[in-house]
Amino acid sequence: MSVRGRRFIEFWQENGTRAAARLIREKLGDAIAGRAVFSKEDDESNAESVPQLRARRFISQQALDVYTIPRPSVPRISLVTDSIGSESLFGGVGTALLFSAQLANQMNATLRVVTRTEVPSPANAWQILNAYGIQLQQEIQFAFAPLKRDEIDTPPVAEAVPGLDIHPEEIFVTTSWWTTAATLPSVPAASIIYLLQEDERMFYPFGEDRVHCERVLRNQDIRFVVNTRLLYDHLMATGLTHLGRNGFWFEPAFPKSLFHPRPREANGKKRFFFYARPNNPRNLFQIGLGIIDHAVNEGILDLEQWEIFLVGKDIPHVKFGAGYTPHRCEGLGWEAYADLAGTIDLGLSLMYTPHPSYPPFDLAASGAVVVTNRFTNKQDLSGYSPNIICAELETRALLDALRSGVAIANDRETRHRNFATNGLGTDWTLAFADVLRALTAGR
Amino acid sequence: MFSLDVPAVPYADPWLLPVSARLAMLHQRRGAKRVAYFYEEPNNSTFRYRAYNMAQVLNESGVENVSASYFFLSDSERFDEIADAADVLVICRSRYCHRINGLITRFRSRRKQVLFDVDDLVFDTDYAHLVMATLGLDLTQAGVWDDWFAMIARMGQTLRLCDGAITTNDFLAQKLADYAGLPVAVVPNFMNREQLALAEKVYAAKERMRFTGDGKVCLGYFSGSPSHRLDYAIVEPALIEVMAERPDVEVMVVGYIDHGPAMKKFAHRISRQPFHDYVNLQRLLGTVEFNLMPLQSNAFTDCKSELKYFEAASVGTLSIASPGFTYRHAIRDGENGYLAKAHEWTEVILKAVDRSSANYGTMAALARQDALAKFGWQHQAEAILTALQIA
Repeated sequence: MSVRGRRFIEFWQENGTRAAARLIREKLGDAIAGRAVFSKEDDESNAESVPQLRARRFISQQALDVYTIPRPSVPRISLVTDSIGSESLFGGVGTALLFSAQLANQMNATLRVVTRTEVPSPANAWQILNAYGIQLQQEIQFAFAPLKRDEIDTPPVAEAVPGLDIHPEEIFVTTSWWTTAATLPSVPAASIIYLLQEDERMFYPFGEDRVHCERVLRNQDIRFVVNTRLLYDHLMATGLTHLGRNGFWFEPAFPKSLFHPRPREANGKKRFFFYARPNNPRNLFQIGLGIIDHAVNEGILDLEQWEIFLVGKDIPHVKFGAGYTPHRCEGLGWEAYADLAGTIDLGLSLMYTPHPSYPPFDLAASGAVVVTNRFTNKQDLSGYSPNIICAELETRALLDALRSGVAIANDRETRHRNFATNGLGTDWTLAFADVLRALTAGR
Repeated sequence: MFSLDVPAVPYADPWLLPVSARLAMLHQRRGAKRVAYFYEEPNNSTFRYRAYNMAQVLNESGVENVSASYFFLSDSERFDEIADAADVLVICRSRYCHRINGLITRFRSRRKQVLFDVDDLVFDTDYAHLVMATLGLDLTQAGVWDDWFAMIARMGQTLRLCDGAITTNDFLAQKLADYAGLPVAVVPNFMNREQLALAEKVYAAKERMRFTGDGKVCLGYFSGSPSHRLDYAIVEPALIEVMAERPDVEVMVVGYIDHGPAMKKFAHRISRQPFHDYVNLQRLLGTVEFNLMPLQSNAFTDCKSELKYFEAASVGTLSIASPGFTYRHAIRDGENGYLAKAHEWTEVILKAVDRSSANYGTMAALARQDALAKFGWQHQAEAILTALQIA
């Protein structure tokens, strides 16, 4: 089937027969009127302007289409993110929602969730806020500001979307360099708070994406809220010194109501967790698989005593050692993920960036031991939990760390003592308190 | 769903009277203050609430020193006569034109009071874009922009010619005051005699059956017009989740709302009803357990009146509403209805459905009592007279 045919079927499935019929009618109308029905990219007469070409290459930076309304009596915080779909909610997006909700409460403001790639799901927002016991003081609003990808994604109905109403003094919380880039042309830079949860420059090879990312990160007028002191220090040390003036940091929290050890079967096998995201290069999926395979072959992970869980997304079928097939866990909801984390004894979670990432914290907060890698100033995470072991990104070092991890996991007393001295925060309200105070001071 | 033994009533618009009869209404009480309401042409919505119902109260609620009537653009040949007869003119939500200017000028030249009554945020063009976006209009059509900006600007111009304004809630009152700098009074929308007569029968029938339905729980969405498409979109994902979880839940949609494709699998549990006249609509409202009132949250929807709440409450039907300005003041969550923020609809509907077998009758009685006390025509005379400055 042609690409166009496949896209049409996807459009039909997503939007229903009525919308598909309308699209066909419009195309027929175009054909009858002698207008171009489909764009012909290889046709010189349809050559694109430079701005058009650029817009198509950098779709995610497409500026928010906005219009101004008079200032309402209640202020508003708009959270701009790609999606709050179930698969996007872990980690960063969840944190952004919690941060924005608490900022909204601090300012007695309405919270608006603006998504760009997927229609926002109110139920998902509720799931997160409910899981963390956050009650919004004012109403929550949802808005879809879709990216216009091409003709099939942009039937006239989507063009008729009125844009995003904004008002003077509205605060925008952006969640990535590209949502920040998309927001910057549409609102005053000073109204943007960029929730920065990774050194996003590291997502790219040296090229145009990285340049655009760096430009946003070097913006002197927006405010930055950085997830962890470690990442903040790294960003400052790598040229983003303006964060000393307009940047703040917080440490994430892991509420005991969600993250805690779960009751286990008395004589069941021990459980090993691997954070498995093959399509996120920074999670070093293949390296991790290799380490586990070594550990199984060397008997560090004795499969008579251990069962292995791969937790993540798009996980391929894989076997370890002499043919052991691990459990594959994808698309877990928050509660199910926390329930699983609460049963884990040892984890391996790699992150080839300065941020510790969430899975090591989730596991340590749930009573597990976890091995992760060192990177720049990320050398020792024992301040967060003595049950987090940091190792150089070398096979032998990681295997040694796993061996130590197995020993602690099997040593009930040490493991529990370590767990008891965790330095991880447990309350999101406390986690954001200083940052929120600083952001709202003088308002 | 409630199977009611209340038959539909024959209906004809009661306001369709010749101008002579409406002028006679104005003169019916000798020596009384006379109030002329004006609306461009009669209809079932704003005209009914803001002119017909007001006149009904002034003429029938025992106030002896006032009489009232209503007039339209089609009565323009009688404008001098109206201006001579009436002491106060209330222009309800009308677009500026030479005839309306002429009518206002006649009253003012006679040193008589002219007030502007409006029930929506449709007089300030600063809000035009928001209004159009909220209504889900096709903004690719230049004519849509022309129509709405013209309409709103013309309303604003009429308002500026008046001495004061009357509106439906405090939020809208503030917007009016900000825009026109005029004194503003609030008279809520309320139910008239015809509506309440049928509501009483419907409620009595439900009391007789002890609020026991047919074993299914019916959620009603009474849309009014296609312009509520975006409001309905707030609640549709929750309806899908609730119907998937609860096989005993059904949905009734009244008006022109199109369901999304995900609702198709529940088609056998969804019923559709056409528009009803406002009296028999009370009967239909009485058949559902819950009346869903999702609203986008913004300045335009904060100006809406309580009418969907009190019409349902009067027939013993509980409402679940977005907590916009009006509904959060009308509904005490869990007492006389439920409030659901945009992300809470599934949870709140399930909670309401689960509690319905235990306390539906008690809540329904509270809701009706509240609706009659605040939004029954018998209790509005004082507010109207105060707003007209003839108390």
